Amino acid sequence: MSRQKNLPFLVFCYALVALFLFLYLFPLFFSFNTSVKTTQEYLLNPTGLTQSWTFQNYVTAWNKAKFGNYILNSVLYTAICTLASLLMSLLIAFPIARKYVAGSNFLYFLFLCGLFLPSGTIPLFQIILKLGLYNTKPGYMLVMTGVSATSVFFFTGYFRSIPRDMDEAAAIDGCNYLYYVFRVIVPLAKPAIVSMGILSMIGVWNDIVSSTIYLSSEMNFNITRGLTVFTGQYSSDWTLTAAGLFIVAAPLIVTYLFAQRYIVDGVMAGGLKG
Amino acid sequence: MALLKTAAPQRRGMRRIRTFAPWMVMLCILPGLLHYFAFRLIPSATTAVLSFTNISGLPGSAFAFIGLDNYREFFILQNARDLFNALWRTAIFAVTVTIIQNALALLMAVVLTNKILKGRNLYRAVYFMPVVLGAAVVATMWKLLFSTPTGPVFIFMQTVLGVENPPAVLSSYSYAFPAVIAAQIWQNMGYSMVIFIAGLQNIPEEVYEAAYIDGAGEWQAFWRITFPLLWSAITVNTLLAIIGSLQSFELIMTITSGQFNTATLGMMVFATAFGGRGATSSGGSLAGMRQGYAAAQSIVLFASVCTVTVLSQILMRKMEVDQ
Repeated sequence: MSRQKNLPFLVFCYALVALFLFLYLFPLFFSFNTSVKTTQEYLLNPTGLTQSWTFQNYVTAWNKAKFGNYILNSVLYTAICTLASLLMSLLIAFPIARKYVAGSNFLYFLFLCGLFLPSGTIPLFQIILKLGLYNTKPGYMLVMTGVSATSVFFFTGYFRSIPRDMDEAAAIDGCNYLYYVFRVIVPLAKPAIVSMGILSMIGVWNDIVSSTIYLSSEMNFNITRGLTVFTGQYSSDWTLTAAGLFIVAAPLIVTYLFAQRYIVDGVMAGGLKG
Repeated sequence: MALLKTAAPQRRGMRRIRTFAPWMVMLCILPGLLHYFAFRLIPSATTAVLSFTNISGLPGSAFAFIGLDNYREFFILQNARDLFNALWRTAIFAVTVTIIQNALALLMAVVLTNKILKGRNLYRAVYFMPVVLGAAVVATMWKLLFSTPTGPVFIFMQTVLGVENPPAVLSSYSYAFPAVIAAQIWQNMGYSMVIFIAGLQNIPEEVYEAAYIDGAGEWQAFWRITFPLLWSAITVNTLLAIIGSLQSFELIMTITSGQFNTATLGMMVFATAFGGRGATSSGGSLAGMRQGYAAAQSIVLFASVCTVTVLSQILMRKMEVDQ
């Protein structure tokens, strides 16, 4: 905030930035460094820079932990849950924004309640159990899908900025509702949809609590659950653990590099945790 | 269009014109609405009902209404220690996380909005990254950092601080909990920071310029201008951090599984309902997935979250008025 060229203050700022860069990059760097070491080198010199540069740990971790299978599951869960959630949220937020249905305000309030109500995990578990969907992929996806209050909130706000005249023109021309929403509104609301979509993807990909609750057999595990089980099995083999960690983190880091702007936008609008 | 506007009389600013078929609009709302009712609202509301039963998580077992027995069991003397420990630990977790996380986030937000600083967006991106990485990755990283005797923290304590026998932090009854708190703060600091940055960017430059012309220093400018004008962002962040830290147990679950004096109330509820350690405050487990009992515990948790949220809101309102 400084308008003055206050040198000690500037030095203080850079020192803080550097300290925090260290605190945030060191764990990542150490993990990566460990993941490319041989076990012998790690045990001899755990903190030194790697000399061996081996990728054998990644190969071993991949083969031992069925990471391929976990990744496929996670991709399936993430894709379907995100798409379904987005679709449902869009089709609810649009009429609410336009007051096209009776009781739009009440609907809005209803979804807002979701922010404050307790999660209801136990009854939800009983429902899934009664439906016979425990430890099944559809059951897990049914739980992970959902219209979140934040996305309804975010979308209605965005839709209100799209002129209403377009709806009227389209309706008078006899345009089909779904066609209109997907060919006109969705392209116009693309930034909002991408933001919410990425936040939802990250949420599903990183889920560990629900996958622990609802999935019990290895063939259904998502990637985070797979990682947890894997690190439990090879808890003292740190080079292997580090490699497993990066197999899980790599897609997240790549997504983050490319979509940072959208993610931060979404969070600023009150996203992620909903 | 023009014809229509004149033809249809305006009622309270709402133009009455033909739009899309209402049944079609309604039909499109239904899937989301039904899903929301079935998998969000109804489960949420029936937690209270299940808290009066002895329902179990094992499939096909019968259950009965047992009145207030679950609550009685939770509050009776022999479990009071568990309850008290868990509540106390939850309070420590929430308070330390809320205060430290927000203080650091505010500090870094102020630093990163300083226009003289080069590469601000890069720093922001780095500090925010753990939010994206998620609990499983962060927990694995923490285990790696705190491993004995090859982890960097162990080596640091041994060689730099000169500790002769550094503890195995994550399996120590005194240090595991602070380490988990540190993980929670490390992961979420960037999240609060981004909200603060958004708030700071809304404060007009001119205010500062006027203050500096009048001879104000950085420190004065912060306390007299930034802090009061940022109050709404501070309120939002405090609220998010309190609610988040009271309920969240992902990192506790993934780092210590609720052992070594780390089980908060949220962890206890999870462990009681779905098995695993942390069901008692000392990190033990209960047999049989007692979900009725866990539902009662989660009602207690919900009640404390509500109380704390309302109290903190009142407090922050009052502080705003006082300023």
